Amino acid sequence: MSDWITITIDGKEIQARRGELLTEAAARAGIHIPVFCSHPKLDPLGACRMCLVEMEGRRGKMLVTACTTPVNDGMVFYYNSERARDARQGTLEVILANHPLDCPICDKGGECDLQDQAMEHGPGKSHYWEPKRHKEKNYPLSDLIVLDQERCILCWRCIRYLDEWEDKPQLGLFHRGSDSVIDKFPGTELDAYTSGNIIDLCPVGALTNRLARFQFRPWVLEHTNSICTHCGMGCNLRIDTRDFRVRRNVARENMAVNDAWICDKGRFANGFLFSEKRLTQPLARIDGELQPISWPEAIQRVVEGLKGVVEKEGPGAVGGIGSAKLSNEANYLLGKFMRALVGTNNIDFREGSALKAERRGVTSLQDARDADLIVIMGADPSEEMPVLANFLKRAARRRNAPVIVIHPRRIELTKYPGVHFHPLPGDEPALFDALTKAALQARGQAVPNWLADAEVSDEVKEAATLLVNAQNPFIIYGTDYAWGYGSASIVQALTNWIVASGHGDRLGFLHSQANAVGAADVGLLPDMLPGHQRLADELARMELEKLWGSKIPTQPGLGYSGMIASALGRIKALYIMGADPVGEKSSYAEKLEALDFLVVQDLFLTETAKLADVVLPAASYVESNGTFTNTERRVQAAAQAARAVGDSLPDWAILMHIARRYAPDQADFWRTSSAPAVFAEITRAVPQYAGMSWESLGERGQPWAWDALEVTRELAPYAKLEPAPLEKPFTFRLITGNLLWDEGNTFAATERMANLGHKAAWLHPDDAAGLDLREGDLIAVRSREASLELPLHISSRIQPGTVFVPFSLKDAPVGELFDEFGPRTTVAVYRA
Amino acid sequence: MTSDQTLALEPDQERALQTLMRRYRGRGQSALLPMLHEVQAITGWVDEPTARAVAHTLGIPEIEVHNVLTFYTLFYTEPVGKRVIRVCNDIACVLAGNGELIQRLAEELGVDPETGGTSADSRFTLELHPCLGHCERAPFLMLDEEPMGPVAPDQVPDLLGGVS
Repeated sequence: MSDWITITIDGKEIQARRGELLTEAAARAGIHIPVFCSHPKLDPLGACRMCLVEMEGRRGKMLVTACTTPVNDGMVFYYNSERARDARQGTLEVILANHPLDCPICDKGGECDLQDQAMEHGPGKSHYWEPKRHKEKNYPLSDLIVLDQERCILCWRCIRYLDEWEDKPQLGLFHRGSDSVIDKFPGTELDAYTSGNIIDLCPVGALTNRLARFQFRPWVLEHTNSICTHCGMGCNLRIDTRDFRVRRNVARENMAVNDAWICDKGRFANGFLFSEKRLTQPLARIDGELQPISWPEAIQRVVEGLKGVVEKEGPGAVGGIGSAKLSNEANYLLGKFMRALVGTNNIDFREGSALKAERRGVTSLQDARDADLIVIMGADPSEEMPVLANFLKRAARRRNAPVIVIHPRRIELTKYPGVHFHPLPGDEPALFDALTKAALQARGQAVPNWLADAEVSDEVKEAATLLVNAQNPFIIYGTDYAWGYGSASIVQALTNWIVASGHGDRLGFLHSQANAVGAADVGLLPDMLPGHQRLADELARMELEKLWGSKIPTQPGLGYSGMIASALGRIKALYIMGADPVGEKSSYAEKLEALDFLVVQDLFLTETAKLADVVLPAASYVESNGTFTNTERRVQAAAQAARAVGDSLPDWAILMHIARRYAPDQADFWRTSSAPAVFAEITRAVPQYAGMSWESLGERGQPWAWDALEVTRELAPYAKLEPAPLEKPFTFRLITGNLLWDEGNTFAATERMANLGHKAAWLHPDDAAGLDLREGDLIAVRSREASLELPLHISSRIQPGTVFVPFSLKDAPVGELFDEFGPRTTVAVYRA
Repeated sequence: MTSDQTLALEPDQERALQTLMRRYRGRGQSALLPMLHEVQAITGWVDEPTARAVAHTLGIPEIEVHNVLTFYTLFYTEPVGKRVIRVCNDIACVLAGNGELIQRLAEELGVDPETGGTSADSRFTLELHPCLGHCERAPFLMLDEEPMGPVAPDQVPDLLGGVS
């Protein structure tokens, strides 16, 4: 049976796919049936009646809603008949009867479906003379979204989005008849993480962006295709500007990445762009104080400072720290500068060499949507990558994919059926060993001796069997298991399980930073060259030396924490770009203070920048061109959308200026004068990027292939993990992790989102009761290293015996607590 | 609109409610209407915490409970008298003289005859309804679920007095 059939609309035969909706079939034939409630991303509903057409039936012609009518061979419709037109006009007239027509002050005016359709399909005048109904006009659903119930035409798109995509049905249709309103449950806030998408979906001006409203008319905006850099998903954005200033971010469709959605951080948290605290000019330490200087002077000082150290102590005394938040161009040039001109491999970024991550990220984001089983280990997609979390939720709900969660907290995704484990820090390897053993047994394979003692519970067996039998599982682990003390053992243990299940080639890593994959791709690692080529690979080195015109040192360099720790020893100068180590751990300050020379290049005068000898003001990614490589290896272009603040310059341009001044005789290798040109050089240095260009990235980006980098994974024994001792008073195990609403530098700069952050240490209700603590009490969390004071949040999502302190809390960086056991240390908890 | 007030339940009401909640645990969306009827029979009206408890008991979103509560006018989301008197205010009853009946009821209860309302002692709520479907017994009213009619104005004191 062919999938293509013939239907007739207004006497014209058109080809359609069997079972597709009439609206879709008609659109393909160029007939655009007007709709309000219908949306290609949402289930059909037929609520608004705007799409009425006549259908030939056994009892004559009848009016049907095109958006809910699947087509079949031989069906006959009339779109332009008098009755159909009359019905649509009538619908529109009724919709407009109570619509306030306050278009002149409505944010949607100019891009409003109701305006457009009233022009095209409306009757032109109304039979109604009665007063209009009055409802709530300025009704906040949250700090981010405001509802105008009078403008609302009750299409249900917002209700359906929250239910169908985020599975947080927080809006409903209350009352009935002409009293009907969209509202939230009394006393609640709309707190879905991707709630802003309902603004894009609203066909009228009922839902508006509370942070952006009344600041523009849509037709005066310039549109620039960009991407979001708040996490590693790389959601596609359209940045709307006026007068070179960003006015709003809206989602841009890219089916391979974010579909048509973005999260609320990506949409609303752009306050960092126009924060008063942005650095606007270079600063240098003169007479002990940071004072404004000119760019030529600043560059001269950087060059002299670095050269001075190299001459006195050798190139090994210099190091460069880049950032997984910055572009490929910035990180590539920092690496090239350090290796080719300074002559050191001391380069890294925070999520670089220390993270036991799969460098290729996840197999593909599409795999998350097609999964028949979801395995999540030490990651919390809902908090780290909300749009991906929505894909996973949809797979769980619509494809009945079981969800296996292994995480120290009861994360949101545990609400879906599957098997959920919550091993305490230190207990993870034992769990993975059991899963490995069960998987081997399920596949009838021999269990090696070192796994013989693993205890296989019924739950372990169930989870192991699910994975062994899965055809298309989506398997990820995350930062919680890949970073800090013991991570090598945990990662090997979890790898063993996946390999034993026969899915070794599907194990992916959820990179939570925008360009963690890219920074490694372009070689900002102390032991790896661009393209994930080993430093020891002579051939690779020679190729690069040709491209760079200099020798590359062969001795592997120091990593991120190694460089900072050595600031008291052999490291005498650091170039820190887009990183704030002192903000993570204040005791790093005394180390950095011991340096002879410190350069910090950033958007803000961070805690680290305050210690610098020279501070270079960087333009944000919105104010420059750049490419970013997301967690599925997709290289995407973010074009400049706004004018740089003050005298700030793009990171790549600053490095280019410094390099030319540092080695005038090498200037031929530092001639590129635009970010796309730097990217062109990157495609020659990174084999996986070969053939790409700024132009070829286009609107969709280009991923490099999963198998373009060979990774071997084998079942192997590993060093036993000795957990931090639980001894009085350190009786709680510390848990860390990312929350979407954190208080990091870029997020906290959006002042109107400040209330969303939830600054707290979290305890299980039993532990709180045991310590006689109540919600909101100020508590102290103390390790052998330091102590933090935080309000208490009581939550059954936390395991008894653990205390959860999220990353990036203002004035309470959890990094302060890390001792020799890093993030997996033990702490004392008591009333402050 | 929903009331900011919350229910103040007697211990026996509280117990009955708890028993009810246990009986409905995990029954899902299809049990929502019967459960709300049973809840309201105990509590008189449904406040936010109770609506929330219903949602959690059935295992459905809170918003669904509120959708249904506000859709049906016979569910109350604001405090209501112990007994509800619904007087038919449609054409047959108007012609049969329900105006005097309503006037008398409103006087006895101390509420506005145009809109109805709840007596100060919270014993009665007077509501004016569109056709209740008993035109042959006009002027007609319902005392809670009990149909009465025709009712003459001078029967009102007995009617109110006879109610426990």
